[in-house]
Amino acid sequence: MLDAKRPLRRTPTALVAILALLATPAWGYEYPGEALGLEAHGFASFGWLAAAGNNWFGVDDRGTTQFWEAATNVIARPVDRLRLGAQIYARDLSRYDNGRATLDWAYADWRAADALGVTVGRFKIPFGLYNEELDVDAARVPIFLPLSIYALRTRDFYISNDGVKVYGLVQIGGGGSVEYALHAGRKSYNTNGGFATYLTELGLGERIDTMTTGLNAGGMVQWNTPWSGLALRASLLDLHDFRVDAASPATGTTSHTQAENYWQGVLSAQLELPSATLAAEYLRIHGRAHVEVAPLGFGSDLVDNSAGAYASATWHARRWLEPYAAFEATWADAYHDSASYVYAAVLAVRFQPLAHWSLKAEFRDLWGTTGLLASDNPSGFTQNWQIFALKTTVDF
Amino acid sequence: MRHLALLVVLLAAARLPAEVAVLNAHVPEDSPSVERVRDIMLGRISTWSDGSAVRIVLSLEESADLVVREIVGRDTERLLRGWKRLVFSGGGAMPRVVQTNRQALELVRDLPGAIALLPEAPAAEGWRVVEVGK
Repeated sequence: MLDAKRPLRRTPTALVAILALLATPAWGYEYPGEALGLEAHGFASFGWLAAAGNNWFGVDDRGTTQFWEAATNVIARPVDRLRLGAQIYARDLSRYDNGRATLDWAYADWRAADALGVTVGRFKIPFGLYNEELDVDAARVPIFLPLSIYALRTRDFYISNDGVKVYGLVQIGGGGSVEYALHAGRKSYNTNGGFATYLTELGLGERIDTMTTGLNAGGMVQWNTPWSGLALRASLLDLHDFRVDAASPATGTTSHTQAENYWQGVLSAQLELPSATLAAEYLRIHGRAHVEVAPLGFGSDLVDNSAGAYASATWHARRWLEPYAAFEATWADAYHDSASYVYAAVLAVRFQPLAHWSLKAEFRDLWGTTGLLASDNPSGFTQNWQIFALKTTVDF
Repeated sequence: MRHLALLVVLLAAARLPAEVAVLNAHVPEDSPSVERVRDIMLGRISTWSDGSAVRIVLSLEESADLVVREIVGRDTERLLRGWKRLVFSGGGAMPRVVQTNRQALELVRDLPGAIALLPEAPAAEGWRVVEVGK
């Protein structure tokens, strides 16, 4: 969709051409840059997204091609136990992010032992089974991770942390093994990013001036059970002292929002079989915040008791063909599940003609309106609506 | 009857691929367990006991894929998809992929810290062969 108010999108045509060239001989006998002890990788995904019945993310039934993401990284292992790396990432998700390049992660990782590794810098947050691969289309079969757990508009909020992560793997004899990760840090969020855009849509102000967390901490523990392919995981994340300052020049007002603690927990189970992968997760959020609007002196408490869940199945039918089905549920208030919800039945298929090139299609049939914006749907909501998506990805 | 049973066992054994881990000669571990090899292939372990980097070598030959499936529980394609997840989320460095088992052996010989899962491998100076069948 064209919109005169929006900046021109940076179309990454040249990037695609470079990726396609690099992808052709990829993972051959030698990596480019190997002589320097470096390896570089990247991916680019392009798609088409449409919604019928309701407008979703500003997308209607005419569809949009403002649906792409790309990343490139460099990884080095200069001495024993040490790994260094950094990745630049950009995405365009309809009116969110608009192709703005960001430092996705940049870290130094020291693996002292199997049971103890330390990562310092910006790292992806281990949350749920798949949060770390939220942006990596090449790593999964569906186009979207389950939206009831892995929200797209709040990506900035959950995707990474700036601080320290401690992690490791501990064998427990005949009981399998346990993986763990603990992390703590603080973060300033991009005030022009997708999450900031979403907060303006929620009415915090016309523009976001600052957005920070005092302490972003959490952890996960995963039991790789002795039963082949079965893993159970619990994850917890707390955004402590989350603050947003926003302004609305048109009305001359400013707002200050503060959340002392914004807790989220996920319970996960995954069963990997030779020909199928089954997964299920349950998310519970407990958030409390307070908004003050100046100079009106108006204050309001915000409560988030939302919850989400899904169950999914992927059939590894052929190396080049994998169908996927899922049922997802999101409840705006976990204590009153009939208050506001959205349920989604999902069908997707992934074709992989080449090792580094995939084609995907996804259909979502949804009931309920949680997460939709009234500003996107001025004539009201439709209870039953649909999302269609196509996507292709190349990587090297 | 006993001869028939023996014949059945021998035929069944003949159909199963052998499973060996081929380690670069300088890898400090003599005989890693099948659990340890699985954790290495899945990216849960990234260094050998002396701190040197693990470097995974994957052969795209069908016989090697069968061994990967047996030991890791994923075929090579799914294993690589898991590695894409790690590499693009900052969790690891990508395995090296070659077309043939012969190329895998040559790479293991030349690459410090390298490990490959193969159906078989001859004894040689540049690598060490460890049986890892379940």
